[in-house]
Amino acid sequence: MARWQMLVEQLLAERGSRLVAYAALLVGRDGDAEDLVHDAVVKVFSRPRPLCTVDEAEAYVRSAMPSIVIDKARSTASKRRALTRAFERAEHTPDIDAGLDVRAALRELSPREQVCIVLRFFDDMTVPQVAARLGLAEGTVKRYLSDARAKLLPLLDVTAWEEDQEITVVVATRRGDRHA
Amino acid sequence: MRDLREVLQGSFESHADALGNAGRSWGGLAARSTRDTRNRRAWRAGAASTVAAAAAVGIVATAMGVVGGGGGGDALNPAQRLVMDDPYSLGECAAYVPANAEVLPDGYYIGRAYVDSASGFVVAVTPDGTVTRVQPGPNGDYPFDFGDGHLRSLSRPDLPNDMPPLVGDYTQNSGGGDIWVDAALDSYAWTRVVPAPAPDGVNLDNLWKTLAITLTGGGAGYDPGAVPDGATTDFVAGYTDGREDTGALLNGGATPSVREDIDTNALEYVALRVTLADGSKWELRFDYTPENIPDLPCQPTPPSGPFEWPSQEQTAAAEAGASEGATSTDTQAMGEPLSGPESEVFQCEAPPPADLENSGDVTARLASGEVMISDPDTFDVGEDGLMVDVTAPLWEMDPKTMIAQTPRVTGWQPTGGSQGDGPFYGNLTYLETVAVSEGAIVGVAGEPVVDWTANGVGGASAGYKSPDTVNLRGGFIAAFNGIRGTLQPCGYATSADLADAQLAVLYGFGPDVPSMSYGWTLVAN
Repeated sequence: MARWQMLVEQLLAERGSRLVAYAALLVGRDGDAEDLVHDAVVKVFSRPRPLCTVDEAEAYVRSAMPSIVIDKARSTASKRRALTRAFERAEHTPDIDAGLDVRAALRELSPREQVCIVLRFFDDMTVPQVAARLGLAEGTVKRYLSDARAKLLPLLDVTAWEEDQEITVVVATRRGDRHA
Repeated sequence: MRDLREVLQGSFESHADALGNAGRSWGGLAARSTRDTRNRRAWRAGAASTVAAAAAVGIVATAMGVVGGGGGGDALNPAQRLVMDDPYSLGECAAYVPANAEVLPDGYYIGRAYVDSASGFVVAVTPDGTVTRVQPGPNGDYPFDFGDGHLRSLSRPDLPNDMPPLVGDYTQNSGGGDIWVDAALDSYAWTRVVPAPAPDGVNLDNLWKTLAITLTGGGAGYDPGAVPDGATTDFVAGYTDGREDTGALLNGGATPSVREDIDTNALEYVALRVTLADGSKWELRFDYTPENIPDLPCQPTPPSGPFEWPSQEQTAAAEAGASEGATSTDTQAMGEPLSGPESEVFQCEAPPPADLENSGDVTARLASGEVMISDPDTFDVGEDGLMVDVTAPLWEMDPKTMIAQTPRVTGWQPTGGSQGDGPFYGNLTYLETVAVSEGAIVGVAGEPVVDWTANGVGGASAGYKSPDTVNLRGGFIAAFNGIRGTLQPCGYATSADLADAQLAVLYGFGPDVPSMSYGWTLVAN
């Protein structure tokens, strides 16, 4: 068995639940989340990469997911893939109740809004980092975050988070500390 | 009131814990991920260059008088004959015949084809264990004759499928162009089992084709004449818990599809069960074991050194169809970026040669939104997509030589075509997207410059610019929605080095590797 194949099996055996849970934040439904994990694994491992540990592999696979979500919204090819693999798993993978209210709320967002929210507030990335990751303009990311906030506030009992301007200040301060 | 970060984190943790506590096994997910990764690796390694060639052929001419358009005929035109033989050794291979094959009629089963993901080649295995590494034909398929005089397309990566048919089993009656192939299903998951010789009056071939519908969607409807008078035939789906779903087949009836009709989660086998007039039963069965995908039956000889391209002697031997006397060497391993012949000019952590900047007719720019691919067709490249416009020189050459000489490493592909019955013009093309920081190459894009398959974009806008050049303008798309996101640092560079790097496209064109003319250009914003 090839090394990459062993790593895939080890990755999903040890981190499958966490990967699916993370993917579920991005797509909302457990069945779709499994497909997203599948797509991310295929994308990451279909090219030779210097991956040696499960931690590295998990990080790679997670980082591949957001752009896949956005691409899926555009690509007709992804729809064909979805049809092809529909027979490969139970027709309706039931959503697990745990945390479902949050995922249900996230599903109310557009794919780009949902991805931006997760990268910004779950992965704790800055707006510039989100923009770079997704290949979007920073202004576009801010708009998605703003629109997402407007949709989520009535759905989730959450406090308003810091404004984008405040985020920028925090980043600048950290950089200053590092170079001090 | 809760903080959104805490809400997301809490949802994630509770969901992950619940998935773990629910005892969810990710074995199935791992199996199909591994399978599709293997296919994708094979696709990238073995088909990318041929797809590019096929696409370019389509660009240049619609009538392929020289290289042949397939057509499904049995006759071997000279071009096809030349590319179907390959002298390179694949090492030890299993015969890979159906289980209990000895009960099959003599000569009935003629072989199996599959993609060896390690070497990136389509290989054909005949029942006696003879293995042939099948090189791509000029029109992008993999033509092969199992020895019965029928030329079959073993794989069609030129077709617009995400996961093109990669493997198949062939019987004596599967003719060229009308093959019995497992299509998108993983053939490794299915094992043909014929428990006993077919009784008198049972037409194995007809029943085989009928059951094929279950796997492939293609085949023949049930013919009651395939069984003796008084016999009936049931379709059976058997599950691991011992349960069986059965249904009688009627004249012309199709067997259920594993894609649409059958729950494959606990499926163990599908079968046609014939009940003869005397009450005795005989069946043809396909066993399903998706969790036990075997290792590849071929173990290619590992590369013994740095990349090499076939010598003139080897190429000549391949072109002549000579299978004897050739050296056994694996010259076709897929290499890391910047490890092929281009490494004589471009190296990681080294500056691209200044005198080669903009030395060719190649431009590259970032694009966003809808871009014109072929008037009036547009494609949404998202944001930060990369468009590469190429006007490449061509040389009159033999397509097989062109393909044989193309290094099977990242960034290389053969390009060419002909107009009608006119001469074939082609070249070897090298295209790679890299990151340049402080004048040196620090990273390589993770997507090839030409990625026809991923984007579903054909290069229909190009055409002859002059008799010996081809304008591929608009036909090349490097990536869509974030080329920067695909960059990988090379050498001792780190991700931080990529942050402020400029994108550049490396390129080269030539009639053969030693004659390549290289250049590079920065990507315009």
